[in-house]
Amino acid sequence: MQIKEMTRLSMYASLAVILSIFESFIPFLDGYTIPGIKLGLANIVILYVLYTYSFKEALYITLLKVGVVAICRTGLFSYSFYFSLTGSLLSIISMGLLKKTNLFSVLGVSIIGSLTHSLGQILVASVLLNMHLLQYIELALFLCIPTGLFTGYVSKQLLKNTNRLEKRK
Amino acid sequence: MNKADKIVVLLLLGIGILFFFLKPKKKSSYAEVYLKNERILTIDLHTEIRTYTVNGTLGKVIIEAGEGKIRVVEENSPNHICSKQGWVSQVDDTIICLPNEIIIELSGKEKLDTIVK
Amino acid sequence: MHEKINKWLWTFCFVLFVLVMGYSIYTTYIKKQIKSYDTRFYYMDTYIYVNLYEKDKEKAESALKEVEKIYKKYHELTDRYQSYPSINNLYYIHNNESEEEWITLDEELYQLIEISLSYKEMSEGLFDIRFGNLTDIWKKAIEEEKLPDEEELLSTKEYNDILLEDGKIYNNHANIDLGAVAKGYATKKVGEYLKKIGIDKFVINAGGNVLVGNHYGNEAYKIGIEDPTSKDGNIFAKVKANNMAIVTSGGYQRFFEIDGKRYNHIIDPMTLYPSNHTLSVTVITEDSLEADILSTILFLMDIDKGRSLVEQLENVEAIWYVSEEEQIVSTGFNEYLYE
Repeated sequence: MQIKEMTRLSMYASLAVILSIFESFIPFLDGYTIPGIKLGLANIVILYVLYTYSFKEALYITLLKVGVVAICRTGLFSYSFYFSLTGSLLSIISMGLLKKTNLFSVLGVSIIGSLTHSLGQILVASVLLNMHLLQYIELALFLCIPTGLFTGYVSKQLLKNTNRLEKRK
Repeated sequence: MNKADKIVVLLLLGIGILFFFLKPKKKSSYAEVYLKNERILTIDLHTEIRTYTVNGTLGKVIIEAGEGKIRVVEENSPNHICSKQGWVSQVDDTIICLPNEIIIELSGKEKLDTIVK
Repeated sequence: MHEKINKWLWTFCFVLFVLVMGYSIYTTYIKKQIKSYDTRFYYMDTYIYVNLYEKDKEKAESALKEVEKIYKKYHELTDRYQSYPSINNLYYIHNNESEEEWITLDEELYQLIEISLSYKEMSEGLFDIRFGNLTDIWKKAIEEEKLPDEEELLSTKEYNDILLEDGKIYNNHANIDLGAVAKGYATKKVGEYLKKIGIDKFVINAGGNVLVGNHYGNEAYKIGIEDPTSKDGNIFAKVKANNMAIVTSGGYQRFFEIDGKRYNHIIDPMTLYPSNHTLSVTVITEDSLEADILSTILFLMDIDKGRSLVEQLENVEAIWYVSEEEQIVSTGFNEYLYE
């Protein structure tokens, strides 16, 4: 990996971290009001990297984001850390797979990413907190559409304007 | 948004709606009766149907509760809205009798670990 | 193109399958989940429920058996109506016709009597375990729903004092009644036993004597306090606590009425009649034995006096259900109340 690319990627990673922290200030969709439900601003960066680079780089950024946010805000190996780790991993893996099919546009990938992110968190929450979170799954199914569309749309515009999408294709 | 995206959105909506209708409805197990925001009665709905009488601001309010459901049978109010409401049984359902300042709230969360007597 | 999609779909399904399988294996074999184990038995004139939350099934089940043994042991030691082989219990003390001057007591029974006696002064004579016959007279009265004979009551004023020395009790047929302490004491011992073997998540309810450990999932246990006026077992207050004993004394379960006056089973040794200051009183404190004794004392005591007693004691809170219109709480009680 070239130094230039490395620097670029770390910039993206820090951007993801900042967005992730910023997001926790948004009322209602902060991921705490309703466990597992949040806007997913960091996903914009991750989607962007997924499309301009590859799955591998996007995975790096995801892990970096989870780690740094945990250190900065919630604490390593806290409950929130596990929520975030599982959700993010599930999300990036499913987005990577979905992108590979070449069937979906950024929007579709983003929606699925948003959904799997929530599902992962809900799954961990139900294990760690011994709670029945069935009603949250239902909410996640509905809410992932607007949040996924939003992040997907922003990523799409970003990709279009930076022309990277065309280049890589 | 291409065709596949749209299919995904529709699919998710479909599953969501299916979930909404198919998920097991939680039967409520307790009813709490409030008068002017103060809880005056907690009724266990696990029992057979029994009659309870509480004093609302406009007079007696007769409540029937049991077997997981509750209703207002008789009350003094201009429109008798709450006694017309009939039985309610789902968690978070409410019967509101504004003229009498009485609110009945159903909850399933009320799971006490034990009761001292 | 089509094949490619198929390939990815299959991979996705496979990964999902592996994840689900892995998760279920993990939960069943590696991370044993905390489960609830309970039992109930009848000792000390009451049903006793014990509920443990534990990962290890065998440990929980053997613990429950041991718990029953503990209750049985104290039941036999404090039994006033029956003797058991090789135990010098309260019945034995009361009905000992032998010539021996001092009776050797089980160490714990000795301690229990000693502790109970020590509360006599603090309660200004209200808490007195020397009135076994008074209890019996009122027990009969409640069964027959008939007021006891005045002279019979007065005769109880002549009782045999309890003399203790070096693990022995003086053989003077003292009619000791430990009904107000036995459940609390046994429950305390059970709590100690469970913590010792490493089970700290439990709920015990021994007829109005509740003892809770740490909660198994949430922040704290939720305990309802029964409304003494309710025929349907409704509750009038809810408290939230961990590692606490919550004990209610109430005269609303065993009583009879004559001319609109209630006669319950908790008898004031000073007046020789049931106490009617309050319908029930609930004490919350760490020690189950102390909670049991205090709940009886507060039930017998004038409410204002009782309140100042509670305020003096550290980490003891109480709630009185005086009547439908009046419920009184001690200053710190609100900390435990929850809504």
